[in-house]
Amino acid sequence: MESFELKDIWHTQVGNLICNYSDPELNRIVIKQARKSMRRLYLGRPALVVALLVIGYLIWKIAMGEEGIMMTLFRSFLVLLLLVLLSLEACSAHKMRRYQADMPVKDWLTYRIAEVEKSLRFMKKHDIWLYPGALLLGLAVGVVYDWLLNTSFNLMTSLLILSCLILYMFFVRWTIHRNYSRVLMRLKELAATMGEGEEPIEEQVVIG
Amino acid sequence: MKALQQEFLRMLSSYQGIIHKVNLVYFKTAADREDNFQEVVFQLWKSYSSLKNREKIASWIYAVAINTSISKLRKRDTLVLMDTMPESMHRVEEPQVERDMNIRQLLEAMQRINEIDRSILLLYMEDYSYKEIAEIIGISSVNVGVRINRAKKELKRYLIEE
Repeated sequence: MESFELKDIWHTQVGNLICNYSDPELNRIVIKQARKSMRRLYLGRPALVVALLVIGYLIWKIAMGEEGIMMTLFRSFLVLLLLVLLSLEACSAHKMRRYQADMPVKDWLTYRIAEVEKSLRFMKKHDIWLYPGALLLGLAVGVVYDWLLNTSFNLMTSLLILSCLILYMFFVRWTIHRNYSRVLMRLKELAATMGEGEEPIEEQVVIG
Repeated sequence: MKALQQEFLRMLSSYQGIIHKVNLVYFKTAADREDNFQEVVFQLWKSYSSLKNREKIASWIYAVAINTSISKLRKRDTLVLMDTMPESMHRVEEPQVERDMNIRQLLEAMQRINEIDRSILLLYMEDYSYKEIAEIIGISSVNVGVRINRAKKELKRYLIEE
């Protein structure tokens, strides 16, 4: 295919396929994406304030020590859970801020491959803690459920909840791991095609 | 923030054609292209305030749009082969159909080549020099020439097959 044919087809006909957005439409898109960037890249102030207020209230109630040991343990568990969730949210926002797409394609591929490999290594190293976490959560749900309904502790109920949780976590972990591995494989395939060529270069045809 | 947003909007209005062209070579349907347009705008907005070289805005937009499109494609496991015409083609008036057959064939053939070669070919058709293409893609000018050569041979092969 001659260079001038290719460029001629492109220049004369591509305009028929492109429908530019009007200024109001572009404005709507920009505002929507600016709001999305605030939500994804920074912790939402209202949510942060509410979370800190709840944590403060729970700590104050624990310090008062007015109710029994079970209630104190339950409140402590809630404080820990909220702190963990806030930390995860902050980490996620930080990661989103760090991600940049404004670099040459080859550099971007190298950066993405490194990030995905890092995530896979982290998951392999730390995912095992999900199972004891599920065990504790299953028991906690069973205990709280029985306490709320004022019935005796039912081991079978807890074991049932625990089994379902473990199966679900195993499935989620396996799916995430498989998707990450697949993305990594494809990025590496693409990066492998970017090696240096050996054929002599064609002279660039300059069109008038 | 408002002034930055207005400045960004003016820039986007002038250069949105670049994003549309990248979308044409990477995505088949209007819905996918619209979705990717929004994602590219998000990535551009995120890095706009730290953009140092305002003279090379077009190159910057190409790099972001291509990276975002490749990321989306590779996550979704999109089929490379294009089975149907892009939806926008259906709006073409009857008398123009024969002339437009070439752009349809060109896009179909481009969908069958490697994502990197597709972006290099797009930049080549947009009259970027080998040096400018090399800067955007992050490879050498020699490699750009080799890949353009190879991509054109592949395109020719696919176009003859049709």
